[in-house]
Amino acid sequence: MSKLTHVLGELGRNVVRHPLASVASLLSLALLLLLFDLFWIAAQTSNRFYQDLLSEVEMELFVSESLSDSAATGIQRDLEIYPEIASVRYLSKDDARRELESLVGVDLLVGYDTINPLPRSYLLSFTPAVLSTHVLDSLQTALVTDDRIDAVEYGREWLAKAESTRNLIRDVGIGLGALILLAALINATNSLRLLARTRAEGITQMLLLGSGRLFVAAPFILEGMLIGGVSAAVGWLAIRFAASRVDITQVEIIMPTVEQIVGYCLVLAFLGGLAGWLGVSKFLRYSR
Amino acid sequence: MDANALDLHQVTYTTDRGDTLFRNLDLTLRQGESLVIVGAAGTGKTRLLDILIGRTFADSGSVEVLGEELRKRRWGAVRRVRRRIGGVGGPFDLIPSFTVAKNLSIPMILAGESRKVRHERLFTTLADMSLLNLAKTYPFQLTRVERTMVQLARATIANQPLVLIDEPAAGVDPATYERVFGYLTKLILSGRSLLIVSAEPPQQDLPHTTVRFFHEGTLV
Repeated sequence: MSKLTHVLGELGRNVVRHPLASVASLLSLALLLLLFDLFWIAAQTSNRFYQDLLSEVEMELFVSESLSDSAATGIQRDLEIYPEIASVRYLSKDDARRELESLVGVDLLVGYDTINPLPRSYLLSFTPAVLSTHVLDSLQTALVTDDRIDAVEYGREWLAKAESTRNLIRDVGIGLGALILLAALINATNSLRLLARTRAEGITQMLLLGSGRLFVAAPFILEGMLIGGVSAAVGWLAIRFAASRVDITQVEIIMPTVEQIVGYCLVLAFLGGLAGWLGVSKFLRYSR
Repeated sequence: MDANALDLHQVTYTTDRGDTLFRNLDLTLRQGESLVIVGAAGTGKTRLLDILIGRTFADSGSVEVLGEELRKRRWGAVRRVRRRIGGVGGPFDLIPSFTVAKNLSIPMILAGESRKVRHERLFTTLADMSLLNLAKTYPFQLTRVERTMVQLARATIANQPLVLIDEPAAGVDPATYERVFGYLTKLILSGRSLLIVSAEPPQQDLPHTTVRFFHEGTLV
């Protein structure tokens, strides 16, 4: 208990004796993390935007002309066994005619009532999780081998572009996020190293008196955790405050959940603790 | 039976610059006995203290302090030994950011003493050494003599059985010398072992104490 009291006392002393240094490292870290937070929101929002777009992607199967109507409707059962397919909709020749009419605004097949040239088809939709060119290409290859089906088509080019854009955003996001977190770690480590340097003589004496390294480092680790966790929380509080003041109607802004933010603050507290250890470790050699 | 306070056997030590300070040095100090080692500057007195607290290690030979063998990378043993050793001067100094009272509390905190015991012992030690008025002062506010006395207090407050002292009374006036050696005598009579290194032989006799001299890397 007395060791814990000593560690907490030292933590308090560090903060109280160097209030400006503590506030400066907290604010600079909070600003860096604010960048990370904004990018996180942007990434989530754009991801949702693409998910919404992708959910409209459908695959069209054209049924062979030689197949009877009863045999054509029988294909549906076979399609429903594919786990990737979320829904199957059959379009008869008449349905196709009506679709065409609704698209162009006029019935182009007047006079062709007995010999409707439009093909019978199936419209397949998918769950967003499987919406990738890789999955749809495999499905297309499997379906096209069926003799009852003449052709299988989907907007591959469009999907491929959407996919590469999403991947680009993800890769840039991961890179930038890692860079910002690295900068935050270095920033916190430097602040705590400066603090440790001012205490170097005291640290050496503590070690000469028989203190363990963790015992000596604990106030610095705790201060790092405090700065990391509080900076992360300050960033989110600022964003929440700003979001409550601004009304955006054009785009739905996707904010992380409270659980995600709490987890993020805990991760930052851990990183802060790591920065504390890295900051003080240079001064923790027993042979100094 | 208790282990010896110090047991050094065939210790050899050469500095980074290639100067051999100790050649097959043998030294035994039984618990309750004290030793003064006299040597000129540069003979390795402080380096010997460094070896005894695991700040540096002998090139060969064995070093045993309070029953613990000190070797490279045996940091657990180094820590245990340091907790049972009191130190004055040389590598030992007060912690600048702590008050005198806090400086004296650290060895007791590390020894796991309760708050009540710490407070009682702090009061009696400070009163015993006439240092009560300095309890809330910081090391930079102390005179050289006061620093030495506070270090002596810290070196014994957790009942450390061995006290290492580097130049205890260098350059002090006769009255202070008397005060410091009076306290050292009290420590020896309380059953502690003292190892004192100094450039000059003591001007005052200490009980149960042998005086030896560094000569060409060994003790005579």
